[in-house]
Amino acid sequence: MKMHTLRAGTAAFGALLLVAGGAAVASADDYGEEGVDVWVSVEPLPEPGTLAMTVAADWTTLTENGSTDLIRQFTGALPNVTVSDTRSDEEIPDGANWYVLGTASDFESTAGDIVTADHFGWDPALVGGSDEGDGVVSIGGEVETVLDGDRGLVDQELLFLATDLPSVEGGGAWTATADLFLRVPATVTAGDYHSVITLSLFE
Amino acid sequence: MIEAVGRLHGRPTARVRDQIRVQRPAAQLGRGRAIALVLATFAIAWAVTGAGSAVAGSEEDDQTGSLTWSVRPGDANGPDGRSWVELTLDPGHSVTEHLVIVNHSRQPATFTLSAADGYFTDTGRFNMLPSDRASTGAGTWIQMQDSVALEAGQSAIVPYTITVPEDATPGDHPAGVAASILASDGAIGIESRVGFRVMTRVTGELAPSLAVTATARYAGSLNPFEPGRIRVDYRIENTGNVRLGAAPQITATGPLGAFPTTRDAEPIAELAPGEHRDGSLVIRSRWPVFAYTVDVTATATPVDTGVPVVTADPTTTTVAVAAIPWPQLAALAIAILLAALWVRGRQHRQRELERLVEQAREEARAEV
Repeated sequence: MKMHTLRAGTAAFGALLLVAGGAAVASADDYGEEGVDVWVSVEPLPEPGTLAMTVAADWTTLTENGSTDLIRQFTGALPNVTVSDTRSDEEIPDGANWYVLGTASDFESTAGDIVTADHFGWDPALVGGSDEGDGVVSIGGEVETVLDGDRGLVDQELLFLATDLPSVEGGGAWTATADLFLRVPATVTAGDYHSVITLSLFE
Repeated sequence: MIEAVGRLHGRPTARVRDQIRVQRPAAQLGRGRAIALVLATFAIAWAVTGAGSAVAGSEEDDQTGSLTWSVRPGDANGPDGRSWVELTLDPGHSVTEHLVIVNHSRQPATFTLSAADGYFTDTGRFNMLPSDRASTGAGTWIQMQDSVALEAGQSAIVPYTITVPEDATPGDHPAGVAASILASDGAIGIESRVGFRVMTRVTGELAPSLAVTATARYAGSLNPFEPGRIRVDYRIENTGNVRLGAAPQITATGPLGAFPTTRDAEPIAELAPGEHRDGSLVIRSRWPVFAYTVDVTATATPVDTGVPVVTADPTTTTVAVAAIPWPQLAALAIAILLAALWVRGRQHRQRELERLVEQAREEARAEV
């Protein structure tokens, strides 16, 4: 057993020497007598960019504000929604732009009364003013309520979107918010109403 | 917000934790598997930390407990560069795909994973049904774990399976998958979703087809020297079984082919089967020439995706529009009336003059 191991070990060592010698000869043939500088090029690891969304809170409130004899109005603000895009141009397929959509469910009171979502509207705005978009993002239009003759936040409405590739070095981050308003006839049944706004980032 | 964070922490996470592939390797695993897992974890951590730190670095409100996350398609090793998923599957077959979710926040969070039917909004953007509406189509074909709990900065590769039913119809079936932060119980809850589309084309006979309906109306100007305009309202419907874009073109022609004019309406990037899109177009500077023939033609355009291009023959609908030149006719009538009055007045004056001359003659004769 020992002899076998030794023999195998010797054979392996011999083979290693032969290979190493051959390599040395080959190397000498290739490069002659001169010393060779070896440069190892360490490429920076490619860091894939990412498209991420930040939401500041998962709830908000509405308070009564600006009601008239005919219409009661409740207003509030959408918590800040930030989209960060650190992808390079190569990582974004042609014609693909991200966007954030919003929709609201019907308002339902604890007593079971319903105020349909078309009584609820929003007016999106970029945080930091209209210059904030860098020409890369644009903001969605105001959507008013059915009492104003509009459709309300029933279908998927645009909060904001990228209109151009963010070729800004290092990517960019853009933040939007929206004024929220619920307008109901003064005859609406009193109660605590609850609704869910769904925000969606797709591209 | 404190309430919301408490809820996130309070979720039971033990059940989903062992389904995630990149969590800390358990001690009892064999060494080889543990090393493989460590390598996998490393590879994924490498893949996302750079981007993660870049995103976190751009955050201004880390202190307020905001949550940041991203969701991308991927394979078992991490993101694979796709922005969304395009599949071609036979009925009865299934395939497993992966989504990569990264919690870029500085706090742990539990994300709800969901799949739902996809559709295109009136403005042509892909979306999936909100969680309070039940899917009936391709959204029900996707099986995935319900949620994933992630520490700050952690990522997970979550497999999901798309199974096409045996009786699925050929053609395109849009769906989406998303990772969501659910709404809390405040007056207005906010559910936030980050996701991507999962488009499945079921093999079989593809039937690309568009249909067009239209109405048109002529609105003239009150000023007879100003032209009016034609307003065309149209609806383009995808009556086939594959996704198509459409390039609507509208032609208005006067009687006997006179004064033809053609306008390109806003192109439609993508319509899913069964969806329709309404549009309108105003053609200005059209004189009222009693009637116009309005043709609305929808030419199918391919959607720019990975699936083979299919297209349909252009389809046209024709509507007739009355464009009676009422102001011009009224102006003409008034002109004719004025001319008639002037002629009559002139004849009257002529007769009056003759009568006066005759009268003067009579008087002269009487004096003689």
